[in-house]
Amino acid sequence: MEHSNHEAVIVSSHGDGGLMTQQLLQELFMPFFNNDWLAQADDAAFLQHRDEALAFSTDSFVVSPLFFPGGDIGKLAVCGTVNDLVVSGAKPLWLSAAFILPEGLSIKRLTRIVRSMAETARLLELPIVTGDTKVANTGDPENLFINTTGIGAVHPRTYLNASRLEAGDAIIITGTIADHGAAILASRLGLDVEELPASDCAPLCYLLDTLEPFLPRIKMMRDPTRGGVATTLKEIALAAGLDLVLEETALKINPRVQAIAESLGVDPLYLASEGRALIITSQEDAAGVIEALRLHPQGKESAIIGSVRPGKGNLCLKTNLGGTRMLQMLSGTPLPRIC
Amino acid sequence: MVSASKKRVTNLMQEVLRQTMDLACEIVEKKGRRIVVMEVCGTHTTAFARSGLTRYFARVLELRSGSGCPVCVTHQQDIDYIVALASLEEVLMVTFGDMMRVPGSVSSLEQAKARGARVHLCYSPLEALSWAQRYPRKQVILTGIGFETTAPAIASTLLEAKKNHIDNFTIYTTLKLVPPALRALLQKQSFNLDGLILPGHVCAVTGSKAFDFTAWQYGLPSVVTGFAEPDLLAGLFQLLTMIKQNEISVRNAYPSVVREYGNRKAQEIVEQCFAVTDFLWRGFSIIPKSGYRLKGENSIFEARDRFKLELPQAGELPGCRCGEIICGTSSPLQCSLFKDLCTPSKPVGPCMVSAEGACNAYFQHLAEAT
Amino acid sequence: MCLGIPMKIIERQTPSRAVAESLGVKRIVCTDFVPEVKTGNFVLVHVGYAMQIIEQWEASERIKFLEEILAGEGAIGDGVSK
Repeated sequence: MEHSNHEAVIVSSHGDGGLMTQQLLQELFMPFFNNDWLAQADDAAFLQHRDEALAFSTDSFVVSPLFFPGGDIGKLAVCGTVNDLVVSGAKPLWLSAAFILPEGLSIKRLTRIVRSMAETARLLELPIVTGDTKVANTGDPENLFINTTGIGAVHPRTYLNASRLEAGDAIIITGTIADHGAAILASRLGLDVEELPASDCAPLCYLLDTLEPFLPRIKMMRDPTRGGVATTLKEIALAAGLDLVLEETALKINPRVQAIAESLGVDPLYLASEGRALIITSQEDAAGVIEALRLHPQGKESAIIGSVRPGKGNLCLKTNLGGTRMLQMLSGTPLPRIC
Repeated sequence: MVSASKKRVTNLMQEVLRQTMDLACEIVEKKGRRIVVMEVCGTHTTAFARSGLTRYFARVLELRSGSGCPVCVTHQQDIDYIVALASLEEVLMVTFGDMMRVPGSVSSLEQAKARGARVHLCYSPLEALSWAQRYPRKQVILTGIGFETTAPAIASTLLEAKKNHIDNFTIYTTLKLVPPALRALLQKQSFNLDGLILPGHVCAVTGSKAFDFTAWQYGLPSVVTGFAEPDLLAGLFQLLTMIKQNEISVRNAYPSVVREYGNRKAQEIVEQCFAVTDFLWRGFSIIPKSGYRLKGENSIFEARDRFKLELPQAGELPGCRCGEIICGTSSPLQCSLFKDLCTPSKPVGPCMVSAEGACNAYFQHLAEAT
Repeated sequence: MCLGIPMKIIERQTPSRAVAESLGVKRIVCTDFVPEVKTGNFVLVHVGYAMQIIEQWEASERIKFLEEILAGEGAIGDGVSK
């Protein structure tokens, strides 16, 4: 027993999408799997087949509770993979769905989840073309795992890469932050919230359409899921080797979300969105991009939240008071705390 | 209307900020060095860093962290005991989130959980009682960690357990008192210190009177301060005013919450359950009369007594300077492990884990990429 | 060391429990330490307990507080001045 205690094991923070996830990838998976595609470390792999440029992305979903305000694990599983393709500059074409079903899961609940997946995919005219089911004793009838994989066609005139960033570029977000993370935390902890804020879980396909005229000049897109806006932008800052400066006054947070985060002592900058995109574009294009985004109902709250500056990979937040605070990648799942 | 008053608050805060900076510059000119102020409370360390004020004033004012992070000052021996208890077959451990990732000598609670231990996070200690009622065959243990602010809640939870005859419930008590540690810290203080930011929420329970000694015994201007941005600014502004005028006293810049004698009712409930005792702190060793133990018939609720474990003596964490950092004698930047070998995802010591540990605050909010 | 959230008491349930609310987030809080608390009072909530009744929490009172601070008359010196 003593001996086995010294042996490292997987802990929940390995799955938070922050530093520990990165370390696990870099230290355990990459040495075995490494190749040119994987080394790009993007949300999707870019594949060239004959004349066709394809994006290929996979994602697994574990969420507790399975149903939450604004969505459920099924809708999330479709949107998650779709959004990874979209922010990679690709139009989703085909989707796969694989299920690891826990013994004891209610068939009625599973039906609701599958129906929700089908409806989300149908709205996007996205066929689920292959799939798999396995049953496992996962210890809890709510422990449902879904994996989706998507293939998309890369828009011919896009080149999204952190290396294109230059000082002066604008950082845009397509709406409020942290809605999904706060909704999940509140439902998981059974917080009694009047009008529980809904998860922002939604497909981002409209983005590509509304941004069509700007696409060639858009430099980077990401969806701030696990780890939130802070982790996603810090990764970009490090990849670009430039500083990103955020303005706290420009960040929009639903007051309910703010209240939930405050009462649990967690920072909204590290809570996930599942229906927002971060877009980095030149200063000249920024106004036009915002205008285009706001024409779409999902993009009404779009705003410029910061800019790219010369530097070494810092992510700085200019605070409401006018001071600055440095932001790092998430380290450890946000937990309710007393201090 | 609301936005008009909001705007007025913003403008006033900008004005306080400007005047605070002017004050700081004046003092620096006179002293010929940076002002050093200690914020006793870890929540202040984090709040100042998050508000941007720490970096804003960095040129003229050093904010140094003190001993006020309950996770950080918990001795290695206690961490090890809690992890060992959680690993017992019959135990269901209920803890605040802050404790989950603190490294013990062999394992953290998070790692113990991954190996099958039953560890549940709580927001309120009362949740431990619900767990105990739901699982009558389990032994539910609450980690009773915290300072004067948290002690009343732990005490009240204990009284509820007694009232409802919940017998499968115990507390691992590591509740500590801030003033004795602050005394110990100020006694061995080996650096310039110009003033103290006193912990507003501890004072909400103890009253500001409990900290009078910082002025009359140690000659330090001190200000009881709250945690929202206007409170932080108000506290800092007043402290610098006092430093400039050489006013040695304890002021209360958080009168909306802190009264002179604190919350009597909360104090009574604590006295009903606990006796003051000598306690082992990380960084200090034993500080006389610095902690609480369950007293009288309540002691049957002490987890240490119900589950007597023989554990190997907890060693120091090699190279870790958390002890010195807690005492304010070292800054995180002086630790050779900081940022390279000790990070929030691979923490060596507790100050890097706790959201309000000094090392964590430096790493998360202040450190620049190099 | 001690996260405290200002919340408004909106309903007393039992002598020792009340519903408190902040921006739509509701919690049941234990009021054992502030038995005199009334509906409409603001309280400081720590780990599910109301620790103290907060005075002057409205924006207008905040303004007054900051103005007094600037005028140098905001705080009460509790200690011994030399």
